[in-house]
Amino acid sequence: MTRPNRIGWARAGFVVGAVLLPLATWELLSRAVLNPNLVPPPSVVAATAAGMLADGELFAHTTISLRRIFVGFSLGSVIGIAVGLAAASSPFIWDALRPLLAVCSTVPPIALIPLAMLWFGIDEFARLFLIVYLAAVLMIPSTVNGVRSIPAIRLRAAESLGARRARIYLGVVLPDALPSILSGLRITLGFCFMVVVAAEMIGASSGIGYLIMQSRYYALTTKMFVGILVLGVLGMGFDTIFRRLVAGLLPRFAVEKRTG
Amino acid sequence: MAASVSSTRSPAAPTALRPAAGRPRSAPLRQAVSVVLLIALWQALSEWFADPTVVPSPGAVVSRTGELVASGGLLQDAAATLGRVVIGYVLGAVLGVAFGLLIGWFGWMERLLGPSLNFVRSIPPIAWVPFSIIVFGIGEGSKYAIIVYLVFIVLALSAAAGVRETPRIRVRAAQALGAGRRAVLLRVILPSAFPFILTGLGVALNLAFMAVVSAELIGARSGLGHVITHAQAMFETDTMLVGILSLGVVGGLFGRGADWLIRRGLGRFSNRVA
Repeated sequence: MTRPNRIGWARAGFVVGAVLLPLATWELLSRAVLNPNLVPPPSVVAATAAGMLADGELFAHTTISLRRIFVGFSLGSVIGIAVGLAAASSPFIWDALRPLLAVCSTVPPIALIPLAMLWFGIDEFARLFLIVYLAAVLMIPSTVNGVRSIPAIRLRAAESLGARRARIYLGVVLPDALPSILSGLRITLGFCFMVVVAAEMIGASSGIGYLIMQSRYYALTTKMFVGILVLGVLGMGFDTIFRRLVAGLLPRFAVEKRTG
Repeated sequence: MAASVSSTRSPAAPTALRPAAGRPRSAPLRQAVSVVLLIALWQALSEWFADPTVVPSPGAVVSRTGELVASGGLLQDAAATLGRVVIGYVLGAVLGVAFGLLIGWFGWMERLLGPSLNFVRSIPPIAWVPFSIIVFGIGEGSKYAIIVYLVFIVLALSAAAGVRETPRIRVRAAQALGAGRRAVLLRVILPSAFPFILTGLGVALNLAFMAVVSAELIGARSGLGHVITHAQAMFETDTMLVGILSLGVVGGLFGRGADWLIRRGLGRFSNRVA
């Protein structure tokens, strides 16, 4: 009954091909064309990864990086959203913040890593400061834009129905600004990921970024590739989780917005 | 009076939540005051710490900028950074668009290669810098490699998406009117894919700049990123701030300029679609 038809088989074939073909090409290139010591073939990388998994090295570095990303990202986003909500309701705060935000958003966050190290050493706090700063700076504009795009008539309707400020915020402003905030959060998480890795590479003694950088000194490109592949898996994981989250959360609010 | 005039044009939001752009005339004044206050705060902080290696005063940073500009070093480094970005970006964009059109045109290629491209795209570009330096050396090669790689992937994916999203009916209409494969590709698919390519060009712009900065921070002998790491080693915080702010300026100018060029030079092609 549920026997796969020809289209199903073709699709499965493409999925398998999409995994195997690049891997086979990489293996072949590395062994036959390039220097396998420089560009390790995937079979060697997989064996090394298995070894690093077994002795706990990979797991330790990954959890440290993940903790840094999530603590900084959540703290900074909460601050950014709160400041953004305040700025969106007060022209004074918004105008006062704009010059500062203009400077902060043009300076590439990676360039601030040496400054953070100079101020706070290679302490954990240096990285936390950097990530919180980055998340806040990125979240303020997307929150303000989200609040500003709310049609005035919805706010007036709530007001004329007797809603107070707190109720308007929770019932109208926040849900309506949510799509913009969520897409801001997705971009912010990507940037936090990038900057945590960069900070670990430039000044840290743990984390995936450190693993990659440390392998460089011993020219252990195999370990380096393990680190790079882990980063790819993490990056894809973040994006998938976020897409699911948005798909789950958005329809509740977005549908209402379209009809209203 | 003014309030009633504006309310006839666009209804004002309730007072409790009036959008920030309420009175445009006073906004520049407030921003100017804010800038002055920020600089005053910076000055106060530098007095408080009384240590130029922690917080150099605004005046010290300005005079350091003057020195570095006068000696020509800053401009040389800025030119090195900008040159790397521009060359890498153009090369990566051309190759990426060509590759994206190719794999989009042959749908099976995209289905086979798309997933790995997406996977590679989610790796932070800085992670490749050490590898790039091992393979291509510490000179220009490793910088170009990182930027070309990044821009290539972004544009290959967006060009392929553009081809994929081309309405079949347009392709069929062109074929029914006797267009050959070449004509379909150049006159139908390319214009349809153009908005996607333009979006990709915009995204790649910022990423390319981030990539060159990270490559220069980890290993370079010139460029604004190198100015920053060198200053860090010498505990010259004022020079470091000059480097950071110059990066902001160069990045901003590069972004604006490239954005203008892209929209001016290429935007008209995507108008044909509508």
